[in-house]
Amino acid sequence: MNETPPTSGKDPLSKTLREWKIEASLPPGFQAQVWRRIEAAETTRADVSFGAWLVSLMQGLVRPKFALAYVTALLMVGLTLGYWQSERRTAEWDSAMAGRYISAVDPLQQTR
Amino acid sequence: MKRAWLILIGGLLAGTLACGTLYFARTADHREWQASQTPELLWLKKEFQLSDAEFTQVSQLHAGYLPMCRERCDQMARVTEELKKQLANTNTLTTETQALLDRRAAMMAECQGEMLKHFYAVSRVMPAEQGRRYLEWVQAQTCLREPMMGAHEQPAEGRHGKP
Repeated sequence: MNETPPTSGKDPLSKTLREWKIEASLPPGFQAQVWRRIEAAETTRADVSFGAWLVSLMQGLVRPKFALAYVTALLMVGLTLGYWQSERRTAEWDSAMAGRYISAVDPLQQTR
Repeated sequence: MKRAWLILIGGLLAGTLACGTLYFARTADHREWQASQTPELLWLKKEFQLSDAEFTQVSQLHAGYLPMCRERCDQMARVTEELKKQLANTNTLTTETQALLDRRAAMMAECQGEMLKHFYAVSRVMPAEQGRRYLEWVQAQTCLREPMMGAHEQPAEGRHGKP
């Protein structure tokens, strides 16, 4: 592999590039047209972002490793949600049952 | 592409199934309690780790205590009603009002005494450590911890908190 830096003064290509002068002028409205194209491309990208994401996901799912990772991730999310929901619900029930026991045995709470 | 769709939907179903299965498995006991007539006693069994024999004894004590407790509560409610009427008809402390106040205070003291006896009986059925924990909890949750004269600075805490 050539280790010589491309900007070396002895390189004929660099020398030619330095001496090269562009004389042709840009067509009228060139800059505005470029910006219009960039804008249009960005809008198109935003419109299809979900579709593009779905397509890339579907393409990935064909690969066994990706498919396994996808299913594992969803299983983990499901288990975490199930655990969190059951913890919340059992804590609520425990609190309600404790209150019910106290209400049953405490005369002051019954007469209030 | 058909295989990809299958995996996409299969993954979502697997996640939903995992969530539902774990939720139903972990709340099975509690849902069973809801169907029972005395879910609070089943909660007590779990909370204070009672054996079946201990639970049966605690349930018997509870069943024996409740009718008497309710009777005393009804009596106290009647006295309180009388007191309310008395208070509405006068603007001075009459002997009748004082008598009702004394009667209500005596009934409250009796109720609290009976309740405390019940708590001690229940705690004795439990394993020693759980019995101690039970006593601490019920004393903190019931009217036994109502502020006494000269204890106005005691912070008011929620009645129905967990032990």
